[in-house]
Amino acid sequence: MSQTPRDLLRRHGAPLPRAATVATEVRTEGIIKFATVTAPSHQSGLTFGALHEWRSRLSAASLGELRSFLTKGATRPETLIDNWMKRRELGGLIGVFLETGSGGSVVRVLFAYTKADQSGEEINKAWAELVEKPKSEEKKASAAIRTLRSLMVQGQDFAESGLLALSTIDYDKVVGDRGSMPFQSVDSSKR
Amino acid sequence: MASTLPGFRRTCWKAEPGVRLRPVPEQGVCLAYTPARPALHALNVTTWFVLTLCDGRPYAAIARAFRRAAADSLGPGSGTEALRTALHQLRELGLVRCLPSVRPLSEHTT
Repeated sequence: MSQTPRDLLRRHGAPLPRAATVATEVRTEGIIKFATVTAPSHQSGLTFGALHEWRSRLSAASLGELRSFLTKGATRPETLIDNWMKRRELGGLIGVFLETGSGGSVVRVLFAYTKADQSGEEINKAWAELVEKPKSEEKKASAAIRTLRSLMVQGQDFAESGLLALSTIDYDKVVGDRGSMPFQSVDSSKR
Repeated sequence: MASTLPGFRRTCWKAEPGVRLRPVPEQGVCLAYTPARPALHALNVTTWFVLTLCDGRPYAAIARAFRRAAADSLGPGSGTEALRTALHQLRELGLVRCLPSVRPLSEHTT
């Protein structure tokens, strides 16, 4: 089917004219190599069975804003969040990372959950309380997580996922949970 | 907006040299790059069509071709005012230039 602008006009009608400059950025696709690897200062040795990740593709301006946010304050935002997670015995914040091989535009935030047998509901409830009803001593951590979240969701392709340490889980039990995986019987028969 | 360009009837319209087009018909847009003023522009289908008519022909010939195509089309962008707005937008973005008409209108029939 021909798709000249004349054909498109005939097929779909003529909208009011619109021509606008597209905001573009020039990014390389080069991989950022690791020179030295240094653990963030807030980290104090975590062992964890589950990770929770936020991933977002940020513009250069947003990335600058995020970095500026992360490096300000006597107690840095990552430390505030990490300390809060430790106090609540949830685990800790591993950190905010720049992904290599993505032109320096993809940021990942990794949270670790270390408390044995804690459920997703418990974790969600704790986060909701921090965000919506922080106690007075939690207000700085609350502001930090809210700002971090706002900066991440303003990027493209924001995604959130959970990662379970495979060696620590009962795989059959996890995939056999019909409450969360209702199509498992169909999926497994097609593998 | 179009009223800032009086005297359309005595003008010819031509795409700026070096302008590169990349149609994206599935989204009803055409991307246009202007190397003289490095920038990328998104044109909707009405403005894109008007740009294809800017091959140096006079305004009257552009208007005739636009009317013929628009006759089969509905929508708010099918009138004369829309055509003038599109030309104005294209010129503002450096995609076309407006020249004084030097050829008789009868030379341009499409």
